[in-house]
Amino acid sequence: MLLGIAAYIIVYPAFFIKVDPSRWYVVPKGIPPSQSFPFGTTLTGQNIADLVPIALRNSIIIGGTTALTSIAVAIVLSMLVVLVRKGVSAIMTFIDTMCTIPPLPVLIVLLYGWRDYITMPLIGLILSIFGWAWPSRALISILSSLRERTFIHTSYLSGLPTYLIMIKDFIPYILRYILIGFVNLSLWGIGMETTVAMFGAMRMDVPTIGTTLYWSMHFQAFILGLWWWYMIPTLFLIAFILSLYALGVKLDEYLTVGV
Amino acid sequence: MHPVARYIIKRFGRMLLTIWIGLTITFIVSRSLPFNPADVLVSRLATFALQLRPEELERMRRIIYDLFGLGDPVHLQYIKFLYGYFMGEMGPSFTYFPVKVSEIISASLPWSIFLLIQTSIVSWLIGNFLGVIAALSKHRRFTKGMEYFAMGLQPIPFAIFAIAYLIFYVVILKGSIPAGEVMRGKPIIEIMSIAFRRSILPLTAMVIWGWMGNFLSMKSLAMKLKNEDFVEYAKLRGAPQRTIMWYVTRNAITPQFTYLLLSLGMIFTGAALVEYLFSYPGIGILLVTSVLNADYNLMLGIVYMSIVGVAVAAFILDIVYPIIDPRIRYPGQ
Repeated sequence: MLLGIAAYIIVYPAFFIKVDPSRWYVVPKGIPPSQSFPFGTTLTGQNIADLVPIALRNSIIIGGTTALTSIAVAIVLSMLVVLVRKGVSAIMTFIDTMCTIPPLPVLIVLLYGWRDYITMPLIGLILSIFGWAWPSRALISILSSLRERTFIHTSYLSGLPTYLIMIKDFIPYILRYILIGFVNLSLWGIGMETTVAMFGAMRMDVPTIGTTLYWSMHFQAFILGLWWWYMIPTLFLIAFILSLYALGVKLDEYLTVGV
Repeated sequence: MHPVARYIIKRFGRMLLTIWIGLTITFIVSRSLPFNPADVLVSRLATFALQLRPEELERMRRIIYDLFGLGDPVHLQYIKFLYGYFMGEMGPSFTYFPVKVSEIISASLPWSIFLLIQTSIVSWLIGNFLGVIAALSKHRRFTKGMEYFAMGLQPIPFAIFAIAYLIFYVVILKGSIPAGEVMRGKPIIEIMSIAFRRSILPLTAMVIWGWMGNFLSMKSLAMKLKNEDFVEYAKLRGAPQRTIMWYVTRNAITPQFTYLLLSLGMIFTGAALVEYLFSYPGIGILLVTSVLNADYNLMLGIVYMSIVGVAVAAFILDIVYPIIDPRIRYPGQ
């Protein structure tokens, strides 16, 4: 399924989309799924078959950037904390505080204020302001307990340089968590983008799954019975998320066997 | 000093730290915007008062700059900002000018805290209860089914679920969403009952979703605990199932409570969304109003007050913690 969705969002736009799907009023409005428009059209005159792959791709870019940046920050921070061995409790207090702070209002102000300048990867970067805290917390706990294991002491006493201890001793143990964390953070990023977009605090002219849902709500698609407008993008998002999640679970099972 | 008193003071300090970090984030966010919110207010006021002479407009601009403290160096701005926000002086709202942001938010915040505390406690209790049952139950097929259901549904964003729930309730069940009522002058019990009636819909949406995370983590914790020696011993001495369940629950509840405290910020995000979708008069509705009217001052006020709201809710739950964790009541024993 993941491959099918990947083909739809990469191959289809390259060969079959002739008009920019973010433009309004290029096709007749509010047509239900038919032979000419397999997924129907919106009241803003957009072809949903063309809109969905672009919207999903943008949402995935946002989720991917969030995950990549947050995981990178978490790895560097947790390694530094474990390496320096000082200020662990102060940093943990700060991380706990960052976990408690509600991200939504801050993200709404930032994304709304910068909406004329932001690009999709930049939205991901802004989301990762809050994304790094949870994985950092988990990684610091894993690495702190790992540090006390005998084989790490042996490496230290054998004179292995610290960076090699990190790469050879620590990384294999946290690799599994990093991969699973990446999948979970991608899902978090996509969910957060959808939530912020539903408040209208986003660049509303760029199609993402969140902005598509926002416009369908704005034009009362629920009451007017235009189910294809909100249902089809949602189903594609759910199909993508569940297949990504299943991949994460399988990856976890595969890597756990080794440990 | 009594260990519990020491613990509460420490947690109070943590609450102040959260509020201070929240204030600093609000300050950085307000100063990092690509425009000046004070200029937005000036231009908006200028459109309402076209007959103003240039010198009057300039005087108005200076007054608003003074109000926002923008004429000073950054460090002074920061100190004034900290003091002003801490004292509840967040300037006027652009939308409801000249009503103060603090007045607008203080009318909505109690609703949000009410929903936040209800949601977090109810979904936490249900999730943990079902988690222990699933781990210790002999009906494997049923508990596996429940686990797959939770695992399959949990990765879907809450925003999608909230819309699906709204469509299901309004379009399919043809249910109605409770409207506002006059509360001033009514007895406290009646006010509570109105608040509870209005919170039922967003609460059910949050609970239907929220139990799953607690369920999955509690189940995996309880699965580990049920193989511990003390549980095995209880089984061998013929302890009833209820006692074994209590042993497992008692030992798994502490990390679950920590998880609840840390996830309050995330629960708040979901709560703000359902407040907006179900017209619940909390911070969610205010957020939409502020976005629709480009009311940056109100947005910044909401950022700060939501951090304060979550910090206070976390502190209230923190006070319960010594009851759950005996290590705080009797440290070093």
